[in-house]
Amino acid sequence: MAARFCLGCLLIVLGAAPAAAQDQSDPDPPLSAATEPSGQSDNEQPLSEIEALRQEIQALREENKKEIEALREEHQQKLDAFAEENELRHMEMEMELLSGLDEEIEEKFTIYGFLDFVFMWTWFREDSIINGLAWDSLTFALPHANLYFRSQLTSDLFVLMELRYSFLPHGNEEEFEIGGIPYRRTDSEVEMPLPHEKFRLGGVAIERAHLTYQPLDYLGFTAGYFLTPYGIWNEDHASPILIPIRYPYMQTKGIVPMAQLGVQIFGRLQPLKRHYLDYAITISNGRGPLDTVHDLDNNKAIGLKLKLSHEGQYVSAAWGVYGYYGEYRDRKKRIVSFSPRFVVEQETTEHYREYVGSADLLIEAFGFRLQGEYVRRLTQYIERPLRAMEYGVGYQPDYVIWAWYGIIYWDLPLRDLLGTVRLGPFYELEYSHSDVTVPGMKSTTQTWGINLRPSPYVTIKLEAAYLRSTDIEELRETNRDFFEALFIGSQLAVSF
Amino acid sequence: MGFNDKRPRFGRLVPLGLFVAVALNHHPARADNPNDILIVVNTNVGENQIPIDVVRDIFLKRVRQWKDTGRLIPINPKNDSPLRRAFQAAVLEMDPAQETRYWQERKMRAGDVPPPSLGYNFKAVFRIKGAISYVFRQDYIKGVSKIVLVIPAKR
Repeated sequence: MAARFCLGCLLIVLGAAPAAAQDQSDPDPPLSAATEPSGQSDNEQPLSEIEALRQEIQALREENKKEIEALREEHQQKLDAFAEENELRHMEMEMELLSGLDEEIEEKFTIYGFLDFVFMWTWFREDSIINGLAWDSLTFALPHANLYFRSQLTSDLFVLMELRYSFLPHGNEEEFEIGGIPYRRTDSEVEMPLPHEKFRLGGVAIERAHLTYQPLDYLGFTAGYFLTPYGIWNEDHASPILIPIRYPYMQTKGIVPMAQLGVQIFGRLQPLKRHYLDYAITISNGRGPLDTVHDLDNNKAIGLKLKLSHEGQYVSAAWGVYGYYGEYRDRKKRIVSFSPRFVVEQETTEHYREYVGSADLLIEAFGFRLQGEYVRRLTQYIERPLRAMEYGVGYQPDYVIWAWYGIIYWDLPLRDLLGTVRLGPFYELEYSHSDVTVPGMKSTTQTWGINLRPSPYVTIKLEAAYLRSTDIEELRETNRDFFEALFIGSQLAVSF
Repeated sequence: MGFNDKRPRFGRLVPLGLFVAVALNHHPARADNPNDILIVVNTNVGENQIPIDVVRDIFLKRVRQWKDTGRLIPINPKNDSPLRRAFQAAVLEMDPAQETRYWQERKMRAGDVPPPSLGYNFKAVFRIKGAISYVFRQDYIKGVSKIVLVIPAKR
């Protein structure tokens, strides 16, 4: 440093005049011949020395600059390291304060649900069988008000309960007037004595209530009352997700039991990137008059679901199958003796085996959604019930019931115009054959509609559906029962 | 024309082809962008690299388990934060409304709930075993968690 100071002084003495002429703002003026005073050829020797000294000073300055830069860098690194260490300590302290965070990371208990509100009108052909059976006036309705209760017990164990609230059984029709039997309809209106306030009692249905334990991706267990893991519609389940308002025949008829009481083993495998294989094995009471309360035989229904899916960025596809076997049995109890011993006998009134198979396909690509399901059930009787047949009363024969539907929906590419609002038309074609042993049980339904989704929580639907017996002309000509109807409806479905 | 006649010509083409291939495949060294998204995991997680498809599956709860270290706990930052939106676009390939819709549907179908959204998601990864989350590069602190994937910021 002393040497630099001496050289600096020398420079000041020798080069003061030219240096002063330079811009004062320049901290490191360039040392060049252009700054030398002219016409001093007599002093060439000292000048050359000065030049040498200048060069030395310049070299020292550069060296000095490098050293300063290195020091700065070193200092910055120390500062960074200190800040990082400090941040880490700070974070550790914060984490200590947040002790138990891992326990609280997931929501423990959640309540959510959906409801739908419908405004609809139905027209029936005057001479069709369904005319008079169903109401045909313009009406509002609230078919679903479902609440979910979900409790996460541990990271891999949860309980889910879905309850459906309904104004029913108020208004439920029990008997049509025939002969001496009067028309009967449930009236649940009651009156509170003190304020003399009248109100109608409603009902609550358990849609599902189960405990699910899934320790591994490929192995999980559900115990309780669960939705049958078949098809698309039954799993979509909730009106804000479903595209049409009207349920397809396979759902309303319950060709496959829509829910079962028992256990389910399920899991997911990933054989390839973005490809999944889901499976589920169901063991349950199966179908029965009391299946949610008690199975009336020892036989248990079994089912197997397999679903292969691909989840791509632009194209998703899923193909699934479900097979089910179960036995239905109904029994009645009859007291046959009071004395000397009290004896009650049980008699089987109806008993059948059912073999059900279903297949479904879902393709989503570039805003299009193509969805289709096919279900077929064979019912084989062991104990046949009596049934009204075409030519009088008889025993119900074995029969096959089957149905399919296909929906094509197009999510219109109106993002630039509508933002996050989604709008799309759809068309649905449905076919069902509800009993192959009875003529005129084939029906076809065509539905045209539109879905508007102004937010992720709201779906507004408009649709028109035309239902008719497939062989309507032949049935009318032979004076057999047929039906023909038109349904026009709108629905506001909300999830919350 | 025999095999030996062809070989010299083919031999000349090989280096040329290699040069073209290397030239086409060459990417200039890319400077770290503070808006790069770093996918970070708790240091107990065995995986050192995770493909983006798997990250997507994790945050959509299509997979729920680490191969070795058990339960997987995805953690999102707060809804509507710039980081969350960048992640939705780059990894989930969804906008916020689409992600909300996705979870609404999952909730009603099977009772699945979305991963928790925390303001201190990065700190939570530091604390919780099996946790995975994401952070902008500019907010990353060394030693707190392990980086398993870097998603470059969109230019």
